[in-house]
Amino acid sequence: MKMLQEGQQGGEGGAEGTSLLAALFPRLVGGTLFPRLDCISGLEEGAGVTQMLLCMFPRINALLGKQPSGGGGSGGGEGGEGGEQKAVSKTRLVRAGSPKKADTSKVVKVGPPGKAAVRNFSVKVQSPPKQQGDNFKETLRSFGIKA
Amino acid sequence: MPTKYEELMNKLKAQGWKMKIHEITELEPADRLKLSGANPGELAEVIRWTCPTDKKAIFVGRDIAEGVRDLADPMYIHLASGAQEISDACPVQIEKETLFGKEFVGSTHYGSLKESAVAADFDKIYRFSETIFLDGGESIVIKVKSDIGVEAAKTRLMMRCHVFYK
Repeated sequence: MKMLQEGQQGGEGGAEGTSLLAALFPRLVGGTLFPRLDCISGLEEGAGVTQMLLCMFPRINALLGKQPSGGGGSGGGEGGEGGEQKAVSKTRLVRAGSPKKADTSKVVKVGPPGKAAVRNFSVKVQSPPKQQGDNFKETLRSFGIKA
Repeated sequence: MPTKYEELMNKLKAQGWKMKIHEITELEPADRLKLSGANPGELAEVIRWTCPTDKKAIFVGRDIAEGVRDLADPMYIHLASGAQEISDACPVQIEKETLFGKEFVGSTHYGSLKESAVAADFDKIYRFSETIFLDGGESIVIKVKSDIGVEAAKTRLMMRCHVFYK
């Protein structure tokens, strides 16, 4: 029994090499001469047919029972959730900012630098003629001419 | 001592404006058609001049007599032949057309100065009177009463404006 406990502890360690050994040499690793009988005797009363079958094939049972618990997969899932949280938090940062800051970030994200330059350019083109016209009109007005 | 006219022109030149004098001495065939179609007593359009979009224009009104009406020619629009005023009914009407519609500028008589005298008179301008300013795209429209001055306007109306550009 002591050996069995040690084997179970080793299995809980999750080492893939140990599970392979247990599958190949259930008697040696499990520390019992009658692994099938021990397995069946260890079953609870309500155990199903599957458990019985697994007991009949101790090597397969060892392989299935000692499979990795899927921690890597769940870890990946957590990582994915973590990534989403970061994205959300970024969005929140943008939304939580002042309206002016949010507008600025939108301009940077949406438009390539070229477009922004074109917008600025068009504004610059429109303004000078207005100033010239104002100078012209102001000059006329200074001479008493209605403009 | 520069006159007001010279002062104005020099100031505009200093701002980078170049100036051309533009004259309308002949009526277009289309204007003649309008004249012939006008009813007696109505105002007939005889001149329509549109300032180019990239330019500005002024029709310089002159007041060489400091407000003494008999010598003043408020609109620089006159009959080139030197015809005398033919009526007190102000047969000439000037309108300005902008994007916002028509704007009545004023009414006047035919002038009495000859074309040769007009250019020299600019040196004597004391103040500008009834000067019309046109921004690019705006038009000046001259109308005359069809039963009084149309025939004279057909042959002798002349309009001069100063066109400014950069």
